[in-house]
Amino acid sequence: MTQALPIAAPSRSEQLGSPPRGSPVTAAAWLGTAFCVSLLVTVQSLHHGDEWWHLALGQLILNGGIPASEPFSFVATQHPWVDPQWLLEGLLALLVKAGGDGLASLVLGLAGSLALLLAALAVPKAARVPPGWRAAAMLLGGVTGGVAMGVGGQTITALGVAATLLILRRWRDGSRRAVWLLPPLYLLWANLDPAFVAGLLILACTLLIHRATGGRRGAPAWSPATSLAVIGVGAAAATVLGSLGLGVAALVLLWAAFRPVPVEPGSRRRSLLLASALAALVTLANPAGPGLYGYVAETLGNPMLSQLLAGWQSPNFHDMVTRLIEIVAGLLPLCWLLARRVRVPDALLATALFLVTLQAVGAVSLFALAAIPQLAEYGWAAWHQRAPGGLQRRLGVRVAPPVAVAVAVALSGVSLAVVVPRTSSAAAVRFESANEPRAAAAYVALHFPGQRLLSSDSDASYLAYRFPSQRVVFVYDEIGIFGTGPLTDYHNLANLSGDWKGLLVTYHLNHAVLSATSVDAAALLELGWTVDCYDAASDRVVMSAGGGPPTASPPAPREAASCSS
Amino acid sequence: MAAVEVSRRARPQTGQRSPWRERLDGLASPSGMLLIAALVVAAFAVTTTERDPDFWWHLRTGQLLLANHLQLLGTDPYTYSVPGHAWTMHEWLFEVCIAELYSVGGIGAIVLVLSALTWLGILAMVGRTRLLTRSRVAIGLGILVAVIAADPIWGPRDQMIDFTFACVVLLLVERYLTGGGRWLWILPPLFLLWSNLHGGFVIGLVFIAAIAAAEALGARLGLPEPAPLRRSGWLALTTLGCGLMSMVNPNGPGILIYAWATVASPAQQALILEWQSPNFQMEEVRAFAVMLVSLAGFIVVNRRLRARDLVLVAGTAALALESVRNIALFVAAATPVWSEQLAILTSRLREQRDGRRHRALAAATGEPADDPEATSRAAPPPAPPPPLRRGAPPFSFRVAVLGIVTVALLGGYIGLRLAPSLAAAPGDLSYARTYPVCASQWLRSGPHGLRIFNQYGEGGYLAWSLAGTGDRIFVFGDAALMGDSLLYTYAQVIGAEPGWQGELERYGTQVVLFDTGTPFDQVLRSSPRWVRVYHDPLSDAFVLRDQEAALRLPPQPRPTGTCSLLAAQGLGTASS
Repeated sequence: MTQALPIAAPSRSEQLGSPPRGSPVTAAAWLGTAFCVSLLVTVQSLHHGDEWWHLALGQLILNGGIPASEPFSFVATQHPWVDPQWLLEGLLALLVKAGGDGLASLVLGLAGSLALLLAALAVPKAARVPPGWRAAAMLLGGVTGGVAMGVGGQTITALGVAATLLILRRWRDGSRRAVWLLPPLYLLWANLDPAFVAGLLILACTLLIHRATGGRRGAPAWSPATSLAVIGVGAAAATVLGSLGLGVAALVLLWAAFRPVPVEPGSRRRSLLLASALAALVTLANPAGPGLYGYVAETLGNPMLSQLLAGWQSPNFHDMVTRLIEIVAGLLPLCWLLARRVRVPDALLATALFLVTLQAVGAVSLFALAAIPQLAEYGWAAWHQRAPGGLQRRLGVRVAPPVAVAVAVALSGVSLAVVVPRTSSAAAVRFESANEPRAAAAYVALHFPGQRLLSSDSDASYLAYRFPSQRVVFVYDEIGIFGTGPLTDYHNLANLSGDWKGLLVTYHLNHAVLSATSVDAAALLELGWTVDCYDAASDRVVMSAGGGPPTASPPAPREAASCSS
Repeated sequence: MAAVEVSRRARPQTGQRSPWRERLDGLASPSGMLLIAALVVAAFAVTTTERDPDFWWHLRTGQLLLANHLQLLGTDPYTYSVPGHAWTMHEWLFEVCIAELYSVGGIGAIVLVLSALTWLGILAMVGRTRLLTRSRVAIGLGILVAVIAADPIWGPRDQMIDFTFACVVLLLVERYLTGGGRWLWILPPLFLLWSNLHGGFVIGLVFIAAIAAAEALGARLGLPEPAPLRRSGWLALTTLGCGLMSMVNPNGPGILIYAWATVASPAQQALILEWQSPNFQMEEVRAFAVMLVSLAGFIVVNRRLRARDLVLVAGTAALALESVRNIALFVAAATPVWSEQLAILTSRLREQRDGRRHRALAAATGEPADDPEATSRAAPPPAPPPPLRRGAPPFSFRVAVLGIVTVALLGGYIGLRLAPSLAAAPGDLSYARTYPVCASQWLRSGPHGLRIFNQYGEGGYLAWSLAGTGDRIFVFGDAALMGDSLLYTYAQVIGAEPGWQGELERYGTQVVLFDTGTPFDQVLRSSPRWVRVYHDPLSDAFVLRDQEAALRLPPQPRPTGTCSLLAAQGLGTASS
């Protein structure tokens, strides 16, 4: 039976008073430690499929500027060539040139940890959240979302989103200058990574959600029940009939239309509107101009996106790291519930990014970044209001600044001791050999120079890096450029569907670099292809057409001669 | 005229009407009709043709058990790959029941009974919801949301036993915790039955134990509406009793280990589709996301959740995100909470509106207004709306409308869903598009005693349709019986990983029957050593070229009947 809603007792914060402000040294020690420990997750080797071709493109840019057309593939692209990450690619190439792959890993790792730190700082000043809570939230968010970062655009996007969240927070706190950081931020971001659009969407949603004026003007005179019903049913219908992304859009738009929230006291909507508009405008200052938005639309609208790229697929919750999404998603409403309050924009942002993450696991880093300040703020408020006073006193032992600094230095030292060896040249080579067809590529360079290669899209990225000027690779993970035609052909070849044998002839494919365990390799063996060599470190084979169909079972690919010999 | 006057005078007052009349009155209201419509929609959703690939081997096993005078089989009679594996027949009673039903009324009888059983589970869910809220609108909407959210799972299948029993167990536990009584005594015999019907009874034990623990902890933490500690204690003891009773089955205590082994098997979790996480790119699971997020939203806004509900919702949500088949458990556990939270929210919004009106009135008259927030929070739960509103149509009229609406809905359900589902025979086109109906006809016409490598999901149908031929298959849906090693071998073969052909030879495979257009099918079609000996839109059959003559398989048949329809119309939208 439905019982009465609980009578809100005076909050614990009202009873206990505001928490005392801690020492700035201790605060810096907490956050510094969290920053260094988070490097364990954010410093990653070059291993994501598309990092290699970005690096190759960066080297081309350093040598001769941005290429006028797609430079690596032998396939004619359906859409105009746009290089939305030219600046990042150039920077990556510079870093690799200066200090090898390890330096690029370290710099991008630092950027990733900086994103976590900015998110941890994006809590209201008035909330006076202790730095320990911020550090804990930062680490939880780092472990949850850090795995989706890498030596590439994902980290830049994370940094941009974190900076946007921090600027918005300061705007809500009443700062009038913070918003003017948006235009230079977006000018830089738009030249580094096309996912700056995510930041613009956050800004647009923030503007939409907040009421245009301080009064009720502009909000339709709907009763709360009716407006909530319209929002709920509308968003649910858009989700079920369209997609989770469409549901998120409907949720935000309907909320903005039916239940806009007032701007927090002291902040001015107009300044955010102007700064955001200017930020959107300056994004056009990139080599592709407005074509950059066309590129984004082509990419997002491509139906092959979720089939080819793992980051655009739903999360696999059998993976223990992915289960952290559940933990964060469960902790957030729990903190809101126990803290007895949540701001509507916060709840909408977290809900929207959680739904997007359910649709595309690559967005987990954005969800984690949105969750960090909320976990810190509401988690602290919940603890402060709900935990027994005795427990708070016992656990609230103040650490002397020298002790805090000593602990911070020790923990940071341990973290750096683990991270730095990962960035050495030897470690980078080891990692590359184990994860990429390094030896197979060397064999191809020696025996089949300039020949077209059939490979997986992620291996094509590496092969593009190895053969940047020969146009030997098929499709790699640049969905927006290739278009559905070449992508469908690639999909048919990779899954042995459609007229896949005919495609081998159409594209003049006589050589392949494939996983030794792939079904493609088995099918090609049955067609009479032979294994030229086996790259044991990465479990790839180099194969060539020719010879008649085998009369007996073809020899196991792993028994072929080594590609290194 | 006098008679009318007498009748009016004799009509009992609202508070004195009989309970049945009260209920009928409630059902004849718009909210009551919504509830009825939701229950009919639920019946629509749970009634389908037989889509569960495992159903067929369960049916065949039941027939064998009946023929064997209910003696367990010990090992499976279907496969040539694991004929020596000990078989834990955790569903023996279910298999016997469906075999009996089949002998009485064919597939239709089974579809009817399993659909009715699932619907009864939904009814038990409604019963639990009514203990939490009286709002028929919230209950009806809850059912609709639940029915859409669990769309990928519904259908006449053995897992619906777990759904229904879970709903009944949760109803009994809620009834006991809120009102006491002897409801707990029903649980042990229920578990005795459940553990003999399906190995999923373990989730029921987990539910009861978790509720007992949560209530004990919730009372200490000050969560709302805790059950008396004494009742939580009895509930914990009942878990023990239910656990003991569940061991009374032909497999003994091993049944408990069996259930855990299934969940802990990495091969099953990785390779079997329904154990995988929901793919939110597919529209059929998006409603689950809507239900999950909306429930979280309600809870945050209402700030009121019992400890047992928190544990049930969080636990089943985690299970459902891990495996799509567990969405049914989430729906069973969370739907009543969803409805209750919706009812609390609407009630709260109504009170806020009344508070605003009260303030406006007080401002107009100059009287001091109470704090509406405190009033709304302190107010007792709103009484159910009076059944008769001023200006409402007469009772008899509304009952007549209710009757017409109910008959129309039931007529639509029977005509559009139930009758077609019952009428579908195993040889019909709808089945031929999903199962290798035509290929099995071809196999039956040839030499018997073959060793057939098959697709995992089609093993059940082949086990049933090739009964009596002596043909043996490679794999079927009892993954625990197959074992992780065989499942990995199966994955190696269909992925054409190095050594795949050696594995086929090691097991003495003579025929490969696989879905057309799959990568493995393409590998075999490309191979000069294999020859395709049968083809239809769903299946291809291959044999080694050097064994073709010795096997003396029948030639490709000229399609007739269902198979000619299949050849002409193809697979349509049916999934293979």
